[in-house]
Amino acid sequence: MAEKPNLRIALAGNPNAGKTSLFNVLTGSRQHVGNYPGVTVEKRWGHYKAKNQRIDVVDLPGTYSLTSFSPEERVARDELLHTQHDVVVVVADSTALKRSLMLLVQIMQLGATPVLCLNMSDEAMASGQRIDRKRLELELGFPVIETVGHKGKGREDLIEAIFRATELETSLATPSLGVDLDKAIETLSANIGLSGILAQTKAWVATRLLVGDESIADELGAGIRQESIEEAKAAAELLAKTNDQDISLLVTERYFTFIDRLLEKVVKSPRRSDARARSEAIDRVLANPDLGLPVFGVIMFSIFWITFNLGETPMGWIEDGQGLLSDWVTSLWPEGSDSALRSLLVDGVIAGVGGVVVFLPNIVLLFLGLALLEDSGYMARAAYLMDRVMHRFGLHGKSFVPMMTGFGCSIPGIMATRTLENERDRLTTMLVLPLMSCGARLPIWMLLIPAFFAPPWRAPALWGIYCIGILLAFVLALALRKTVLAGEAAPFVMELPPYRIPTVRALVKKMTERAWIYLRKAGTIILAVSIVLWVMSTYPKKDSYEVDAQIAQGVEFTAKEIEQARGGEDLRYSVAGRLGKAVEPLVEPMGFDWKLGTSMIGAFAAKEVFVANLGIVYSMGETTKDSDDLRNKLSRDYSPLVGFSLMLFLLISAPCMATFAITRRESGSWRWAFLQLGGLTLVAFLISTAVYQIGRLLGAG
Amino acid sequence: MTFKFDLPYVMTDLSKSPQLKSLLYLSPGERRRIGEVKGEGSIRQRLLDMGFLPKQDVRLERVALGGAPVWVELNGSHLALRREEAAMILVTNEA
Repeated sequence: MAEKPNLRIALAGNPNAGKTSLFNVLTGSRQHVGNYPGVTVEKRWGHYKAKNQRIDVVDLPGTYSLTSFSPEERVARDELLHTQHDVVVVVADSTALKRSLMLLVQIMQLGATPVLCLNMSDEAMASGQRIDRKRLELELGFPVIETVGHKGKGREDLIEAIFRATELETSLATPSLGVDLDKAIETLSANIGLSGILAQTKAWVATRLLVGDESIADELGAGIRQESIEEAKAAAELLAKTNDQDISLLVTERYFTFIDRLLEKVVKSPRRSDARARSEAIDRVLANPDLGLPVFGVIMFSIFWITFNLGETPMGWIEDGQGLLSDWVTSLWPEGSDSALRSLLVDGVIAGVGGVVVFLPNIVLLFLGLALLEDSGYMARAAYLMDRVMHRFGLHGKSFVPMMTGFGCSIPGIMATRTLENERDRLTTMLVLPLMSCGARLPIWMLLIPAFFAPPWRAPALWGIYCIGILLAFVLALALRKTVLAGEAAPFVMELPPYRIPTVRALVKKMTERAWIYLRKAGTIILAVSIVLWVMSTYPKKDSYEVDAQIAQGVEFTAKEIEQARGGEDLRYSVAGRLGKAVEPLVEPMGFDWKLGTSMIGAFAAKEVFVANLGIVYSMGETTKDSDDLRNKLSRDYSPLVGFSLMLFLLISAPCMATFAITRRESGSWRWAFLQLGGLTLVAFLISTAVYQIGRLLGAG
Repeated sequence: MTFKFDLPYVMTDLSKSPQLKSLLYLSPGERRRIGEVKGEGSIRQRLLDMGFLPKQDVRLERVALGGAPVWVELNGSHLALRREEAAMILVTNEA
């Protein structure tokens, strides 16, 4: 059988309706799904094969409507307007049908061929809701199916329904919004001028013109006959007058009237009023005005405690394995040989990449914690609880979700700022987001905290460094809102989904996904930077050593001391050493020496590189290598004050290359990206210097 | 617990009709019928799209520490609004 042409389908739906889960069910694509609004912040593509045909799927950002006031609504609207899809799958939250169908009605007006997917049908069933699916299908004239996206139920039905929809013969009727409105829309669209694939969107465009949505006229520009805009205005005035209602309200009410009539026919039994009783009981504690914030603090602290303490055992295993590997590679060369390849493998690759891989258990645990918060629905409560505080500092409760995401990685965090409708809110959140200590910085804390803090203080120190990041983000956000981003605050309307028990499947998937991304980064960027740094810290080689001159003068050294001294001299003579020496005056006020300076140079590529670099710098000068040993050396060489100053600098200073690039893309200008890079580095320098200098005056370190 | 709102205009400016009052003045657990949705532009449209329409019932669930955001139930969904938006939703005395 010959291949048929590809089918092109789009997934649309409210935020948190489970579109992304369904997208994954369909395409098997590995993608981030969470139980809070706004996980998909841009279009995502995937595809699957069925019946010898390739089906391309685009997952649109979640929207309540197509009135396009936020960037994500605009993305969804423009995709639906300008691209011809064979089928648009409208994913509805079965537990909030009325609101979900609002989007469906608009998509019907757009002339699309829809499939209505009643998602989360298990939850709706459990709450006592019964829908006559067959009847609904009959009323609408296109396929309606029930699915449970996060459990992967309904895939076959969905695939089948998509095929059925493509075979629909008659063109679908646009939903009726009442005699007067229908007539106005019909009159307007008859002469609106839209041609090509836009022709089928006439009814919707006419409705948008009626409510005075100027953005649609701008969007379609010359596509619309200009007189239509004036005609729409006149028609709208007349409609408003005869109905004694403003036009926006009239149109929205008519949409809902259509939905109510439809639901009257198909809902056999409604949701019980106590459907959310369990969630409510939990919220009486977790969202309690007095208890909520302290409980939130405890939850966050527990996550860091677990990240730190449960990770230790598997970390030990990885370190042991690394030690064995290192010994084995060393043993391939005869005792005492001076092979450059051996040094590259042992001191460059194993010390560098290995130093980062060791922290894999911590990364996995941190992401497990965040995934639990996301999937359970708690994240939305956190945003609710934090809005008041965030608002004080010129941020937005919704800023909180991207910021929490930033604990994992700044890049999805910055992308998730698209959920913020107001451009100033969005830029503010984006610019301070790198202060959320990301997963890549976790290895740094894991290395430095045990080096400088006694065991009982380690978890609090980790929690503390995250808190310092958050506090500083607030302060800088306020500073931005008072200066370059001054302006009015944006509204806050956010959905609070019921609590759901996260599925093991979804949690495991998120963890493996993150673990894989982490390992891949270790195998690529960090490997490359490690090799570069090894070369830089190995060459040029020194011909004669001062220590030999000293020996010649009769000073006595042990064999180990000689080796260490030679290593140290080599390092100082090398490119890295010279670079480190060159930056030393810059980092000196913060209490750092050239070794730390050298290690920081590569950290712009990826934050973990600092750990890898430090491993290399120390391993070049000396012989034994595992991270405990590295910690001992650090606590031997530096005071806790320097350690603290170092942690602050690494927390605040220049975000990584990828963050810089994504800020440039998301803010649409180099200006903001450079402001973020330069501003944060300057603030880091000032704070670390102040802490070190004041600390020294007070006699610490 | 009760909170004092420093938004006096809510009572005076937003409502033409003396029977209407802002959603903000409900006590947690109170259910009322929406009489009018004030305001204009995108914020109002967002509220309308989410189903805050006259003749719909809305229930105030709880108010966060410091007086905002307010947590309301509408058509079985739970939504959080800031004072500014909640003040735009005027309710009648009917339940």
